[in-house]
Amino acid sequence: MSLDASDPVLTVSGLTLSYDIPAGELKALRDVNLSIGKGEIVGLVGESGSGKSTLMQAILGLLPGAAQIRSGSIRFEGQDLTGLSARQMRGLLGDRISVVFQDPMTALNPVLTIGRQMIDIQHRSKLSRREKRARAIEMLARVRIPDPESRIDRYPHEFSGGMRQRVAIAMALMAKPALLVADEPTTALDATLEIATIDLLRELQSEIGCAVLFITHHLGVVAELCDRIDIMYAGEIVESGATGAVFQDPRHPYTQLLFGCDPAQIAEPMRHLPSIGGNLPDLTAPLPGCIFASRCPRADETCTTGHPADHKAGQSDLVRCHYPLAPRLEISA
Amino acid sequence: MTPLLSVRNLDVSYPVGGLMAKLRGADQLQIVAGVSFDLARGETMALVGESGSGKTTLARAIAGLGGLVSGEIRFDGAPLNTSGRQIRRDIAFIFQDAVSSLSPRLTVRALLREPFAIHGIQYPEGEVERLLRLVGLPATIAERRPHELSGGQARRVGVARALALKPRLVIADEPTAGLDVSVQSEVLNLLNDLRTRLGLSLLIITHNLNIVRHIADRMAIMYLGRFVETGDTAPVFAHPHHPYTAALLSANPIIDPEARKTRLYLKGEVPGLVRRPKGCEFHSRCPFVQDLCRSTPPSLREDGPVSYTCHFPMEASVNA
Amino acid sequence: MSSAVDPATAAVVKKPRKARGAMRRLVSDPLGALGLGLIVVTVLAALAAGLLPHDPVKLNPMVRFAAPGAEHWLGTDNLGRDLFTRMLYGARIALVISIGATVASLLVGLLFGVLAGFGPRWLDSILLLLMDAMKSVPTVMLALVLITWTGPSLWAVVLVVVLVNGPTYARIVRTQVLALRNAEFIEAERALGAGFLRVASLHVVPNIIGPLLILAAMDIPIVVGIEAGLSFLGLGVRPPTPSWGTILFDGFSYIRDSIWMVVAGGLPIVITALGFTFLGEALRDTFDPKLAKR
Repeated sequence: MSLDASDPVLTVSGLTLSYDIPAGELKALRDVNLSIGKGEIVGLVGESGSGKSTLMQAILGLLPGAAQIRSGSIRFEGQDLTGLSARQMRGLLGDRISVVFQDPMTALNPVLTIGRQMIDIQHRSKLSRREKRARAIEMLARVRIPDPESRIDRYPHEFSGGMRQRVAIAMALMAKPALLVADEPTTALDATLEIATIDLLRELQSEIGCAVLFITHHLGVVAELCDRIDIMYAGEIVESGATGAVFQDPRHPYTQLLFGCDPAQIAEPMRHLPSIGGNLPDLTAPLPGCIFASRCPRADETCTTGHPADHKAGQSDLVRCHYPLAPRLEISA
Repeated sequence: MTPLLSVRNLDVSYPVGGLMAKLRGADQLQIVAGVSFDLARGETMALVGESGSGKTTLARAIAGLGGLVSGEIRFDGAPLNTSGRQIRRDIAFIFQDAVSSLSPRLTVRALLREPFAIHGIQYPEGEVERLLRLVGLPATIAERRPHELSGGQARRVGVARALALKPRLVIADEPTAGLDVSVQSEVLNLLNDLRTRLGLSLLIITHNLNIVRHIADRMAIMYLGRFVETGDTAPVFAHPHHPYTAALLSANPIIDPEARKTRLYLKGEVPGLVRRPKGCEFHSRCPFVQDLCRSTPPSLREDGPVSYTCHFPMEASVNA
Repeated sequence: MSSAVDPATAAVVKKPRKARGAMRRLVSDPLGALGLGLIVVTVLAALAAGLLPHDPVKLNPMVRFAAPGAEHWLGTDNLGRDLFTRMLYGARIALVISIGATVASLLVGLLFGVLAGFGPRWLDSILLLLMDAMKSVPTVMLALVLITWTGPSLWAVVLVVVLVNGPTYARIVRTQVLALRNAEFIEAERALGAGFLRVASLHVVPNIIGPLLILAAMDIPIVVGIEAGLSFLGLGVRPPTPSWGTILFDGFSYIRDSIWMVVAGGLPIVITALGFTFLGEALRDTFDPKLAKR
C-alpha cells in the first residue's frame, strides 16, 4: 500500500482550537495533524468528546461562534480554509467538498420531491433542465434506487431510511467533489443496510475518484471501508496509519484498549467484557503531560509531566506516545 | 422446574386507521405473529432483529405496555395478568433512550423513590444510596437532574430504578444504543453482575450481534414479527440454519477482504407488514429462494439446541 | 470496574446558580425591571389602601369636586369621596379579580386540557368542540347574557373571564399533553405502575406549566381591562364598591366638573396593564428556550 503523500487533497496541520465557555477556555483540539491523499478513504475514529465532530466542523467552516482557531491551517487544494470568508466557503461546499450526515433527513427537504432537489443542487451547471433531470435519474440508478424514473417525483418520506441515505449520497456525489465528508452516515442503519451502504460508497468513490473523510465511532466500518485510520482522543489524534497495519499492531495504549474492548474484536465469548475505565480529562485545564495519562495503565512520571511528540512506530505513521514501542497491553475484563 | 416466563403462540396487533378501516375489517396490524419461547430463571435471552422486526413490540407486550395481545403468557407458572399491578413489580423495563426515559424535572433521588411511592411501599431508609451503589454510581449523583447526567450515568439510573422493586425479570430495550464501546461494556457487565447476584432473568433486545455473542445464553432472530431461528447462542453463531440468520451474522463489518467474499447479501428491503409475503415470509429477500418457499410456509424444525423455520436450511460450513 | 465519577460534580452547584441567574436576567432586562416595579407599586397601593384616613364609600356632599390638595391628594368625586382612597381600594378589586380569575382560568384550562389530551378520543372530541364553541362567542355578548342572568357582581366578572380564557388555556394544555403523552419518561412511569393522577400531576403538569404561566402573566392586563370595561358598562362591580371602571365611568359623566376622576380611574389601569405586559414579555424572553441567549 503506497501513500500518495506528494499531493494530498486535504492537509490539516497543527490545528489548535478552543471554545470560549463560561468556565474559561475549552481546548477542544490541540495540534491536530491529518492528511487525506487523492482518492483515499480515511476513517476518523473517536468516542464522544474526542473532538471528531469539532474537527469536521472546522474543515467545513461550520464552527459555532464560540469556537476560536488559535493556530494551524487546513489546506484544501492549495488554499487555506481557515482564512476563507463564509461566502468563499459556500462556493466550495456542495461543489468541491460535499457532506453526508448521519440523518439523511437533514439533507433532504421534506416538502420538495427528490427530483426537484436533485435538479436544484445542480444550479452551478449550465445544463438544461431536461439534462439535469436525466443526470439525477442516472445518479439515482447508480445508488441502486429501483425504478428511478418514477421514484424521482416522490417525496423523501416515501423512501425507506436506507434509500433516503442512498439518495443523500447520490446528491452529495453529483457535483463530483474532490472530498466527501461523511459523518456517521451508516450509524442509524441496520447491519445489512449498513454493509450495503458501505459497499455502495466504496464503489461510487472508486468511480468518481474523490477522497473520503469518514467519521465514525464504529471500528468495524473503518476496518471494512477505509484505507487509513486516524484515532482521536480528547482533542488529539493519538494514532494514524494504514488501516490493516493499525488494526494488526496498534501502538498507542488508547488504540490498544479501544480495540480491546470492542466486542466484535474479542474472538472468544466472554461474559464480562473489558472496559477502559476512568473518564475524559477536563479540557478546560489539560495537564502538561500526555492527554491519556490519567487512564493509561502504563503511565509513569514521564507521561504525566511531558507532552509526547509524534513518533513513527511499528507500521503506524503517527503515534503520540512516549513509549510507542512498548509491548502491547494485556486487556483483562 | 417451570420456566420463569413461558410464551405460547403470542400474537400482538396494534389498531390502525379510522372508522373506514374498521368497516373493512382492516383496523388491526399484526406485528408479532405466533411467537413461543421459554425463559429460565437466571437466564439471558437476546431478541435480535432489524428495525421493523417486531422485537420491541414483543417485549413491550410481555411487559404489559401496549398492543392487543392474544396467546398465552405464563409467569412463574401462572397466567400473567398484563393489566394488573403485580406485573409492574415482577417485570422491569429498561427503555432505549436512557435520558429521556427519566422525568426531566425530578432529581435522581426523587426518581429512585418513585417506585416505592407508586406501590405504596414504605421507603426503606438509605435505599437510594444502596441502589446507587448497586449500579456503581456515587451517592453525590442523587441531587442531579436527568439532563445533568452523561449517557452512561443515565443508563445506570434507569437500571437502578428498574431494580428498586426487586423484579424477577428485567427487559432491556437496546441497553447500549448510543453508548461508546468502553461504556457499553460497563453497562453490559453491570446487567450481568446483577443477574448473577440477584438471580434475575434478562431479556435483551438488540440489533448488535457482537454483544449477543458475549452475553446471551440463548437468542431468537426475528423477521416480520416471527421467530425464524432460536437456540443456544454458541450453536447459532457456529451454524446458522436460516438464511436470514446467516445474512445478519455476515453483515458484521470485518477487516479481512477475503472473508468478505463469502458474505451473504439479501435482496431488496423488508416488506411491509400490511402485505405479508405468502409462503415463507422471507422468500422475497432470500438468496436461495425456491418454488416451494413462495407457496408453502415452512414448519418449525429442530436441530439439537437450535430450532428454525426454513425449507432449505444452510449447510454447517458456510459461516464457520 | 470503574464507576463513573466524572468532573460534573460541578453540576450539583450549577442548579441554584441557574435559578438565581434567571432572576437576575429578568431584573437586568430594563423592561422586566420596569414591569416588576410597576406591579410592586400596584400591590403596595392595594395593601396601603386600608391605612388611609378616608372612607372609600361614605358620601360627603359638602366637598364635591374638590381639587387636589393636602386633605384630598387627588381631590374628591361627584359624591365627595376621596379619589386617592378610592383609587387604592380599586387596586384591591382589580388585583383580586385579575389574579383570581386568571388562576381560576388556569386551573380550569389544566383540568380540561389534561382530560382532553390524556382521555379517550371521544372525550377529546367533545371537549374540543366545547372549547371552540366557547371561543366563538364574543366576550361582551357572553358577559351581557351571563350578567343579565346572574346580576352584576364580582363573581360574575370572574366567571366571564374563566369562560373566555379557560378554553384558550385548555387548548394549549391539550396540545402540550398530546406531545408529552408518548414521551419515553411517561411510558417509563407507566411501566413502573404509576396511575393517571400521579403521571398527570407529577410528570405532565410540571413540564407544561412554564409557558402557560408566561401566557397568563400577559393575560392579566386584559383581565384588568375586562373588569374595568364591564364595571364601566355597569355590568361589573356594583356602584358603591370602588372599581377603576366605575370611577372612570363617573368621571366620564362629570368630566366638565372635574378631570381628576378620570385620572384616578384611568391612570392605574394603564400602570397595571403596562406592568404585567412588560413582566410577561421579560418572562418569555428569559424562559422561552427558543429566545433565551446562552
